[in-house]
Amino acid sequence: MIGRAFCIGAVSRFFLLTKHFFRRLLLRDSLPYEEGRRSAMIFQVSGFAMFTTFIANELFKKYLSGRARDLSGLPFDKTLFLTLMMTAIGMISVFLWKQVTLDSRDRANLSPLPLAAATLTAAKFCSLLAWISVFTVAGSLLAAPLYGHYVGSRTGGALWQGGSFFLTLWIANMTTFLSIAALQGLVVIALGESRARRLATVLQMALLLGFLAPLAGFVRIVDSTGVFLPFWFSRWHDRLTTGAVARGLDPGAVIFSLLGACIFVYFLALIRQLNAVAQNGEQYDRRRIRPRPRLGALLIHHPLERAIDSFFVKTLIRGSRQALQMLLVLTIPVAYMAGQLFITISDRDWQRIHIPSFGLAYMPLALLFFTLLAVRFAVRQPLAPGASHIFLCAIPHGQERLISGLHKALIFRFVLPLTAATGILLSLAWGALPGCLYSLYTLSLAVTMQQALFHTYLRVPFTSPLIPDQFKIKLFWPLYLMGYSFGLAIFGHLGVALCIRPVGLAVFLAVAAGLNAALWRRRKRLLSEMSLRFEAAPEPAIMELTASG
Amino acid sequence: MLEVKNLSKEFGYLRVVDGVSFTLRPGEIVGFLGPNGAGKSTTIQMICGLLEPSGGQIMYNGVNVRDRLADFKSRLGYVPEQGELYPHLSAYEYLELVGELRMIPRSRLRRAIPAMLDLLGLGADMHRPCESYSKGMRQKVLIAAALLHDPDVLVLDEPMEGLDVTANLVFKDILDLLGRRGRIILFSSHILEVVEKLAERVIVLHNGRIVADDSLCRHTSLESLFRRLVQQDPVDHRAEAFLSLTGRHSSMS
Repeated sequence: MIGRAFCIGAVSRFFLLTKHFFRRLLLRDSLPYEEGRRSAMIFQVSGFAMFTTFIANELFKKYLSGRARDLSGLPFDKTLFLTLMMTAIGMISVFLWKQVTLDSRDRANLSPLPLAAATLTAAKFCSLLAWISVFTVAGSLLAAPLYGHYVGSRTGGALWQGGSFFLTLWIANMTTFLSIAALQGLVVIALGESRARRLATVLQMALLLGFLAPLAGFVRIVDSTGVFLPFWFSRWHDRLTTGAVARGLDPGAVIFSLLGACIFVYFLALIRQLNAVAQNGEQYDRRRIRPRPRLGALLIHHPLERAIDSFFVKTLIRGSRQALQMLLVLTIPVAYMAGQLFITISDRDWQRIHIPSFGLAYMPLALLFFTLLAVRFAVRQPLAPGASHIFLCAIPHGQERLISGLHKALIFRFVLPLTAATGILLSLAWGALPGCLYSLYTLSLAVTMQQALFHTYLRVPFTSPLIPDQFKIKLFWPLYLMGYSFGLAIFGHLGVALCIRPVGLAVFLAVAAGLNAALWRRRKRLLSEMSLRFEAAPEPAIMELTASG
Repeated sequence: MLEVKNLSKEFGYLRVVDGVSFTLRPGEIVGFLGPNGAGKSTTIQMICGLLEPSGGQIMYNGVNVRDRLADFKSRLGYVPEQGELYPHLSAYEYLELVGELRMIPRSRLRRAIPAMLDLLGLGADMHRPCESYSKGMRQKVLIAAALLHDPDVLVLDEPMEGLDVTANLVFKDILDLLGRRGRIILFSSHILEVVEKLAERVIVLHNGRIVADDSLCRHTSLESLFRRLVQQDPVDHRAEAFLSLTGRHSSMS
């Protein structure tokens, strides 16, 4: 009787915990504000559904009866679709890094309760499966029926084609997600939790690059079957629909062995994590990355400016939310650049690498532009608004110093090192003179970009509370896309032309200096007219209401 | 009865708790004191089964708690020193989750949660998300969570932190009442006056060891005991040394 009651209790706790973990995953309680969480969740799920439907329609509509001559291109298109879907799921999963295992909040709230470790781990695992299923259903809701409709019109059995495609997508998504969870688990097992936490952002960046970089060279990679995971899912789907047995390894065996290994490693890591916390308590990382204080002291003399520089750099390095925001903006351009660089080096352009060309010229520009944009995006993320009083107290000593400290930090920590690093690479490729001249051009452009992006930012970074719908997102994304499509092309070609025409470059530098001076004067005027803001500005509608009475 | 026998905890080479032994009897309210870093929270976490001891035992009614941990936790109410709440849940939802995980019937929770939050002065805000709460409000939620299942053993790590005057008085009354009902209560606090008023007995920990364990009336005063324990120099000398470092003490005076 007691045993039965215990079983019923354990089962009901399991369902309750699964629901709780699932809600935390879906609503991402690491994000500030309820509205922000809901809109982020709706944006992610609906965006993913639209993305997969659009891609499925574009890739498979040619197989509708009477359009394509045969189905010979189907394996390639299917693999490409699976790759895109797994990449998207992988990228979303990377941003859920902390919630894959039990975080400190779970441990603080749940460990005093009478819960068995098995119930906790099983519930956590099931919540992950439920989460991945939500995304799979969203991503396949129209994509799988479309596939069934288009391909089934040629092969027959549209329902089975669509159904089996959905099953393949579900398993593929689950494998992607659990591979990331297992990788995290492996790092925890190998290095311990505190070191794994320290490495998390670097790993997230590496994973995102790993997901995106192959897309640039997809056509070549898809042939090297053994290492390319989506290929095995494509083959498994072929096997499900046609029953054909291919030579070599059985795709089902490969997939399910990998899935089993991932689940095993994940549970092992989760149990190890629970044991480690029971043995050592919550571990806090004592050996943190310290930015070079001497560099700041050497280049930035005023104590207030040095304080801002130090706070700014340490927050970007250690603040996980801020670092993730930067990753979010930087990953696509960096992955694209890596892919392009790979193609440039491995292809025909290698013979003409010493001639200044757009292929290499746009890279420093893209790197600097997107880095500055990423920092602009990240400084909105508050760290601890309640702690802003230390800066408020410093205002009487000179608010201009607080802002100039931020600008100096941007120049000395980002613009100069990136320009120098890319300048050296370009000098090696093009020769010293064109390389240096182009770096000078890049530097003037980067400083102007930095002034333009930050000249109305009259805040201490990371100190204002974030109100999600208030950010000028309308301004951010057009800038992001325009930067990619027009800005970099125009300025890249212009730079190539100017680095072999020093007179033209001198004129450009003079114009850039004038623009910089104008932006600097405007910022100074704004600073003399108003004090630094520490609160988010109210909505215009509220301002109007206040004004009218 | 809760017996702590020769309890110790090591983190690497660092011995944080060193051979701590004491007994807590039903109906007894015991204050747990000590300077920062004395090992109070580590001892408390070991008592609550959140941290495995390196040595020693914790016995509840003659049974080692680590052998029947789930059973012991179901009788335990615990307020952590640094309570983290789920920011997306309201106080009501948080307590509902805790209550359901403790297998309290939902009908009872529906009555008990609003009543308890009302008592602590949080009734009007119980449906607001926890992320909007002040430190004191969060503390009230944690106290309510610890009391929700009417525990036999109550372990409270700095429970008064951030509480307003009304909640403080209510909380003292609750502790007093629970003590009279025969519950085992151990609470740590930095506020000596609170301990003096509330506790019948104090245990003082210093550098991981018990340096005093007695009923309160036998000590002259807790303040003088602390002065003896943690200070070699008189306060005036140390304050003078600190102010000389800031370089402003002469102009301040």
